[in-house]
Amino acid sequence: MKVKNIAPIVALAMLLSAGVASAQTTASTTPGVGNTGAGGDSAANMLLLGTSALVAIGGTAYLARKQVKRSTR
Amino acid sequence: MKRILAAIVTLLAILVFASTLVHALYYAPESEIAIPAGIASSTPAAQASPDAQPARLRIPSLGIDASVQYVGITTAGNMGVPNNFTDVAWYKYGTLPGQVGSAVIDGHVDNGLALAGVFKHLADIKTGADVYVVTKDGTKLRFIVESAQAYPYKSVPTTLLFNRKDKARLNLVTCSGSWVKGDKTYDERLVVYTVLAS
Repeated sequence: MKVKNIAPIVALAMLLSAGVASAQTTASTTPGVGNTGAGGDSAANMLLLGTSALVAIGGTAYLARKQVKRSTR
Repeated sequence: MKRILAAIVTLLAILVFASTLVHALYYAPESEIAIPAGIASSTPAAQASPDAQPARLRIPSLGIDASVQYVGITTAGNMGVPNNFTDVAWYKYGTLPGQVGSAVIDGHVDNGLALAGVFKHLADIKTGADVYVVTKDGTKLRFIVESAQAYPYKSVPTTLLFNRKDKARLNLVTCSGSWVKGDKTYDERLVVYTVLAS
């Protein structure tokens, strides 16, 4: 585990411990706010989908043609 | 040899296509840190009955009727998010909806193809609108929208969002604003503040 990933864990454990120690039933943790959007990646995703689809279709067509040639010999 | 290579490349292309499609449209997992059991069980939500945990979030004015996932804290130190684009997620180490304190629920604004996520139209919610949380035992909690505010994503007032204890609050969070390419996120967070109806 990287150091930068350990820091928030340690900080959180300390926060939680302090919360438990100082207020038995009202321990609170305050995380940051998560990332709730992915639409900005849509262009890259569509490019990847398009490219991989072309390769898959091309490869399948190539293999099918080879198979047909072999079976007609 | 060529055929074998072609087959491998074709298979890889199919796998890339399928994986990209699934992650863009349906599945958005995030790694969470493991909280020690003794600490996790001491949070206010953990000490209440499991039947009081939220099961569904409904916002009639926006046509939202979503299943509620339970999230903790990610390796980045942030509240977790739903692992798909149609559910919402409740922060399980905070306050239960209906308890005095600030329960927090987040949801995605869009998916990886820029199609609408569960909270796509959250910005359209009006002050005074109803928000319902249905718990596991079928109890229906009604919250009323007090206000909505967008903050720069690096300076969201998390104390206001997670730690106010004056009333039974439910705060809804999603992304808004413009895309920040370098950080792969939107540059704002929209927070809708609601309070339990008396």
